[in-house]
Amino acid sequence: MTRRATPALLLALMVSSTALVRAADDALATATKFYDKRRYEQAARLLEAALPRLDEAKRAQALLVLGTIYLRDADLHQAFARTAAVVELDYLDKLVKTGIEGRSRYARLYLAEALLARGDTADAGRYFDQLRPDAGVDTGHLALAQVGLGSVAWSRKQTDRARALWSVAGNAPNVALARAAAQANAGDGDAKTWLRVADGVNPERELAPRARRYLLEIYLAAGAPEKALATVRSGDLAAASYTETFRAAKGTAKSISFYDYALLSDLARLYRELARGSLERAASDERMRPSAQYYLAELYTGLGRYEEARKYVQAFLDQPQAPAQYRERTRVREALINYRQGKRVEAENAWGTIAEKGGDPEVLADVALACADAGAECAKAIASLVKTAEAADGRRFARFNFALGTYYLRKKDYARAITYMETGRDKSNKNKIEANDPEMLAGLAEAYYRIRKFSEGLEIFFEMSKEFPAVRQIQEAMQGVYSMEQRSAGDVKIL
Amino acid sequence: MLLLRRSMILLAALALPVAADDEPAPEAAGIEPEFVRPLVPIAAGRNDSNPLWSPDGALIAFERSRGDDKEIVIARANGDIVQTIYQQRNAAPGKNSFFFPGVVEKSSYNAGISWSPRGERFVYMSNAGEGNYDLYLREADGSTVRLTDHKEKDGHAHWSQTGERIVFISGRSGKGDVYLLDLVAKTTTALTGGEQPYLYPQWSPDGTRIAVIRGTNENHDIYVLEPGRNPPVPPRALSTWRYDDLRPVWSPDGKRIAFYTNYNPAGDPKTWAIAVVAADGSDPTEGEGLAARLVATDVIPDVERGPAWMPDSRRIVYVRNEKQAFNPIYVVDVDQRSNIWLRTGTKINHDVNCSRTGVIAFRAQVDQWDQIFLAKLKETP
Amino acid sequence: MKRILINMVVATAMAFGTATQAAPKTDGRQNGGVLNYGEYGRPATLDPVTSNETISLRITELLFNGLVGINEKQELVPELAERWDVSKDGRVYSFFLRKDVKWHPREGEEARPFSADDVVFTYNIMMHPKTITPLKVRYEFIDKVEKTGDYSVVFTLKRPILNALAKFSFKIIPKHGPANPQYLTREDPFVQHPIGTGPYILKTVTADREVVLVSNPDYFKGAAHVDKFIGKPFADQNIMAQALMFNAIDMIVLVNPRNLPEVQGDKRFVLQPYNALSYSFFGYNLRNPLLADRRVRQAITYAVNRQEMLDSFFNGQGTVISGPYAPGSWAYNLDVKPVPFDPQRARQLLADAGYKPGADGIMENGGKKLVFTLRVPIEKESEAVKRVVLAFQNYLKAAGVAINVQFQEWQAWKEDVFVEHQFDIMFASWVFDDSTDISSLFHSAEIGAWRNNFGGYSSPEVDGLIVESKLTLDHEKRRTINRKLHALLAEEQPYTFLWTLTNYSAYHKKLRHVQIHPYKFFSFADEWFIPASEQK
Repeated sequence: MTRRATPALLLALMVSSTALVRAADDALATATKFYDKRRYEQAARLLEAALPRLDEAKRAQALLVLGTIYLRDADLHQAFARTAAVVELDYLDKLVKTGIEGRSRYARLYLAEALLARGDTADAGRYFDQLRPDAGVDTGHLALAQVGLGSVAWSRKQTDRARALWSVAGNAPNVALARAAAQANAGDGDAKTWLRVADGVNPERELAPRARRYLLEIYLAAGAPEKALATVRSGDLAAASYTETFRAAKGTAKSISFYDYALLSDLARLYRELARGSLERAASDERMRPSAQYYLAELYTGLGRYEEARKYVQAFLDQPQAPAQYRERTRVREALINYRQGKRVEAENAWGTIAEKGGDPEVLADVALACADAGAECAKAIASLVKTAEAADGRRFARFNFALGTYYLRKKDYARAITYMETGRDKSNKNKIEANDPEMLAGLAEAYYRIRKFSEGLEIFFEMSKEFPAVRQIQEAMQGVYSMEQRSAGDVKIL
Repeated sequence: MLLLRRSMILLAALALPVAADDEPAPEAAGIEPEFVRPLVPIAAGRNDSNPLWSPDGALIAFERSRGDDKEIVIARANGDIVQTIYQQRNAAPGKNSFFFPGVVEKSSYNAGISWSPRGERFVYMSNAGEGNYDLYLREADGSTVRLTDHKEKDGHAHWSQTGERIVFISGRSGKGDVYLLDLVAKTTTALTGGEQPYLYPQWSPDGTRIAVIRGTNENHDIYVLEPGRNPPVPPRALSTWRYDDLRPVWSPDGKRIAFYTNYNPAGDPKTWAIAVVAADGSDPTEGEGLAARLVATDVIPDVERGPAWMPDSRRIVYVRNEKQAFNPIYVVDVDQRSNIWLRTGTKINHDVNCSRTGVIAFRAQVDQWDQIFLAKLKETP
Repeated sequence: MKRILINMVVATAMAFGTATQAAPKTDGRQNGGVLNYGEYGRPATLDPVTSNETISLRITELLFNGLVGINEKQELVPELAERWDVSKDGRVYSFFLRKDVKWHPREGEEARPFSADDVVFTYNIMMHPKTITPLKVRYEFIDKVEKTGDYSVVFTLKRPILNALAKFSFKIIPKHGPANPQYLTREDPFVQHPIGTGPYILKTVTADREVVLVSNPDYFKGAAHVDKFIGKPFADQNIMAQALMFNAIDMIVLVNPRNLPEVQGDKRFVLQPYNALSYSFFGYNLRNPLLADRRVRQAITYAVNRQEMLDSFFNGQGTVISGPYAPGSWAYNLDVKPVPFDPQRARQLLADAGYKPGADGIMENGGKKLVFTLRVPIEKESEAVKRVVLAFQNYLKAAGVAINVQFQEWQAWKEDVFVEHQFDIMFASWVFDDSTDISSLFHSAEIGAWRNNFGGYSSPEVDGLIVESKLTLDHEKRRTINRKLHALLAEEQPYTFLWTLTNYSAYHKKLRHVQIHPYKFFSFADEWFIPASEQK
C-alpha cells in the first residue's frame, strides 16, 4: 500500500476547479480543512451531509474528496490495528500468565479472539479450547468461545465442524449475533440470513460494544457499509467490551477492562469499503476520473485485489496530463503489485532504480513504504534512501523520514525506526495530529513501546484519543504492561 | 519564495489594561507617559513580539506567532499594516495545472531582520524550510535574494547604516566568526579568527566599527572591531572580567556602548544589569572600575536585542525584574544614574525598542496574549 | 511472596550473564572524541548525597553507580552488586558485590578497591541527622544494613514494599571520600571533588566553571566510548542555543521551548524528547477554612482557562491534565476528563458555597472575603511562571477572587510552604522518576514539616487507597486503585492540576547511539559514541 497522498494533492483538485458552485464550496473547503488537520470523521460527516445538495459536477468532486478521506481513515485504523496487535496481545498474554490469586478468567477469551482476528488461528484455537465450563467464565461468554472455535475450524477448512460448533453455541441474542457475524466473516450462507439476525436487534436499545462490532461485521459482509457506518457512529468507540470485576474480601475490588481487538481492523475494512464506493462513483465523472483512478489503484492494492489495482494503475499512467510525481508514485505502486504477485526481483529493481534517481521526497517515501508493506529487503533501494536521508532535511522530508522509520519498524530495528520518525516529527507540536500524521505517531508509539519507553507511547495516544476514541484499547493495554514492567525507586521532587 | 500578504482583519480593540493594583513602591512614583497605546487592536489567540523600528521611524517590524505559524508583520506607527511576510518554498517542479497544489506551506523559520539605512529593504535569516540557515535580502520590489549559502549556520546579520555592508556571524570556520558582506562588491570577508567564538555584531552608527560579543559559556566579553583600518588592528576589549556581558548596543551618537552584564555583588549568574562604557575603550574593562559603570540593576535582558537607547544618547529604556509589578518599564538617565519608572500600566513587558523620534515600542501581556504597545515620554524641559 | 522470588531468580540469572571484566567495550563502536554539553546554570555540588538539583544529579550519574541499575529496557540490572537474594518475607535483601570495581584514583594515588564497607558507609552517612540530603526520607523504609563479608551486605527492611529492589539504585560513595566520616555537608571538600566508580572521572572544574570529566579506563562495564565530557554552564538560554548552532557545544540537555523551532530548523541537530513524568499545579492550603470548602477549590479550577494558558505561554507544547498523574504514566485514569473552562459554573459553585459579590467585586460570605495569598518560587528564568501567575490572577479576578502574589526566592518559598505552611495557594511542579507514587503528596501521614503533603490534605478514603496500593502485589489491582485515586482527587481538587510539558534535548548528529534516561539523563552515556571521522 503505497498510500497517503499528501493533503496537497487533494487541495490541488479543489483549487483546480474553482469555477464550480460557490455555496457548496463551503462544505468542501471546510471538509478539506478538517482533512488537512486529520479530523477525518468531521470532514467525512460534513461531506456526507452536503452530498445530496450538490449538483452533479460538484458531487463528483465531493465524492473524490470523501473517498480520499475514508481511505486515509482506513489506513490509520489499520495502523492502529497493527500497534494494537503488539500491545494488546502482550497485555492479554501477561494477564493469562499471571499466576497470582485473582487471576483474570476472561483474558483467555479476549486473547483467543484477538489472535483469531489477526489470523493466528492455531493459537486462537488453543486458547478457545482452554475455555472449559470450569474456567470460571459465564455461560454467555463460553458460548462465544464456541463460536470462536467454529471460526477457527472454518479457517482450517473444516466446514462441517465449524457449522456444528456454531450451532451448538446456543441461541441467546448475543450468541446468535456472534454466530451471524462469524458466518458473515466466513462467507457461510447468504447475506439475507445474516441480515435477518442483524435487523432483529432492537434499534431502540443502546448497543453493547460487542454487539455493535458484530453488526458492523455483518453489514460489511452483506455489502451495506452505510449501515455499518451508522452502527459504528451510534456508540462510543472507547467503551470496553467487558469489564471483569473481582470480589474483594475487603478494600478495593479489582476490575479489568477488555476490548474487542477486532474492532480496529473492522473499522479499517469499513472505511476502505466506503472509500471504494465513493471513489468508484467519483470515477464515473469524466473530469474526476483520472484522480479517482489514482486512488482506486491505491485502494485495490490495499484490498489485495491486484488485478483491479493493476487496471487502475494502467489507466492512470495512460493519462497524458498526469503529473510526473504521481506517475512515479504510481510506478512504485505497480512494483508493489508485482512484488505481491511474485515478481519480486522485478519489483525490487524498480524500487531500486526510482530510489537511486532521488528527487521528490514524496516518491521516495512511497518506495520506503512499499518496501515496508511488502516486507521486502529492498537492499538497493534502502541504501539509496538512507543516503538521501543523511543529506536532506527540513519539513519537506517529514513524510520521507516517517516512511523510512516505518521500514525499520517492520524490520524490528526500533532504534533506527525512532531516529527517522523523530526526525520527521514536528517537535513544536509533537503529539498533535494537525502537525504530525497520526499514522506516523501510531508507528512511533509502537517503536517506543517496543523499547519500553511506555510513557512516550502513552503520551502519543493520549492526544490522539481526543480525535480517535478507538485507540482507547491500545492505551489501556499499554498502561497495563507498563504497570507490570515498571521498576522505579519512587522518587518525586518539587521543581 | 516570499509572499506578501495585505493586512489582515483584526478583532475589535479592547480597552487598555488598567494600571496594576500592585504597583512599585511609592518612592518610585514614576512618570506618566504622553501616551501608551497598542500598535494594532488588541486581540486574543496570537502573540506579537520583537518590535523593531525602521531607521527613520516610519515603519515598525514585529513578529507574530499564531500556533505554529511565525510571520513578520510590517506596520506604520499608526498601526496600519503594510505587509505580512512569511516564507514559502517553491512548489515541487513537474506539477501542471491539473494537479497543481498552489498550497502555501509555511514551514520555514525566519528571524533576525535588520533594516537597510533607508528602510526600504532588509536582511534576515531563514532556513527556507530546508534545514540550513542562511541570509536573505528582501529587495524594495518584494523580491528575495539569497545572500549566503553555506552548510554551517549564517545569522545575526546587521546592516550598516552608512552603506551596502552587512556584518553577520557564520559557523563556517568551525566556530562563530564575524564576516563582512559587501553588497556592492559582492564579497565576503572574515573579520575575526582565533580560538574564541563571536556572536551578535552591531555596526556603530558611523559605520566604521563593530561591537560584538566574544567568549564562551557564561563568560562573554564585549569587543570592538575596526574593519577598515590599515594596517589591521586587533579587536579591542571593552570588558574582560569573568562575567557574562551580552548584546552591546551603540548609543545613537556612537560615543557609548550599553550592554547587559551578570555582574552583581552577590555573584548570582542569573541576575542582570546594564553597563554603559565609552565606545573608544577608555573605560576600565574589569573590576570595580567597570562595576562602577553599571547604570541599572535587576534588569530583565531582552532575548533578541540589547538595551534600548533613546535618541538623545543619554537615556536607556529597559525592563526591570520587579516581580510584584510583573516586569515594569524603567528609564535610566545614564549620566545622572536616575532610574524612573514609566507608568505604562502594562505587565510582563519585554522587547523594548526606541525609534529615532523617541517612540518606545515594546510587548506586554494583556489577558493571556502578548501585544505590541507604543509609548512616548513627555518632553521634559 | 512468590512474585518476589521469581524476580530474584530472574535477576540472579541476569547477574551471572552480564558480569564482565574491566576492559574496553567490545560492541564495535568507535572510541574517542569530546562531548561539550550545555546546561542553563551551574551545579551546586557534584556528589550524589548533598546534590538536590538536576544539573548536579546528571553529573553524579556519570561519576557514580548504585548496587543495581536500570537498563534501556527498564529492566533492573546488576551494577555494583553482581547478584542478590531476597528473603521469603520480602524484608531481607542480601547483596553480593563485584570484586573487580575500583574507585577513581585521586591525583598521585593508587586506585582503591570498592567493598562492602563503602556500601555501609554510604547508607550511614546518608541517614545521619546532620547530613543534609533529600534522600533521607526515601530510605526510611530500611531498618538496618550490615556487612556480612568484604563483598556482601544485608539490608533489612522495616516492611516489605513493592519494587524495593529499584530503590537500591542509590549511588555509593567511597568510605575514603568525605573528609568527615560521620556526616556530609556542603562544606566537605568531597562534594566539589568527588571520586566514584562510574564511567567518568572528574578531572577538574576550570576557572570558567566547566566540569571536565574523562573516561574511566577501568570502568567495570568497559570504558565509555567518548573520551571526555565537558559540562558548560550558561547564564543565558538564548546564548546557549546560539553556542550549539555555532558549534561551541555539541549538546543542550534541556532546550528552552522558545529555542525549539530554531533548533528544529537546522538539520545538523537531533531533537530528542524525553519524558520525565511531571506536571504543574496550584496547590491549596486546606488549613485555610475558606479553601477547605471543596466548592471554592472547584470554582477556582472552573474559572481558569488552562488550555489558553498552555497555548499562549507554552505554544501549546504540553497536555492539560485532569488529576494527579502525568498522561504518560500507567496510573492515569482515562475516564476522568479535565474540567472545562466555565466561569458560569465557577460563579455557581461559589454561590452554592454562600458567597456573594461585595462592593469591590470580591466574593464574600459572612464578612469573609475570597482573598488569597499565592506564593510562587522564582528561580532561573521565570517569565513563563510570571505569565501563568498573572493570568491566574486575571481569571480569578473575573470570578470575584482576589489573589495577592508573593514571589519568593526558592529557599524562602520552601520554608513558607513546606515548613511554616504560611500560604493559601502555591504554584509549583512535581517531577516523578519512572514511578507514579503520589503517596507522599496526599497521604495524611505525610503532613508535617518538610513533608510533601504541604497543603494538609487529609481524607481517610484516599489514605486507605494509598496504603492498599502500596501493599498489593497485584498489578491490576494497583491500577484499579490508582484509577480510583485519580477520580477522587480530581473531584476533591486539593490542587488545580494544570499540565504536563515536554522536555527536549538537542545534540549534533555526530553523536550516535544516544539513549537518554528521562529522569537521570546520562545513565546510558557510556554507550554513546562519535565516529572517528567526526571527532574534532
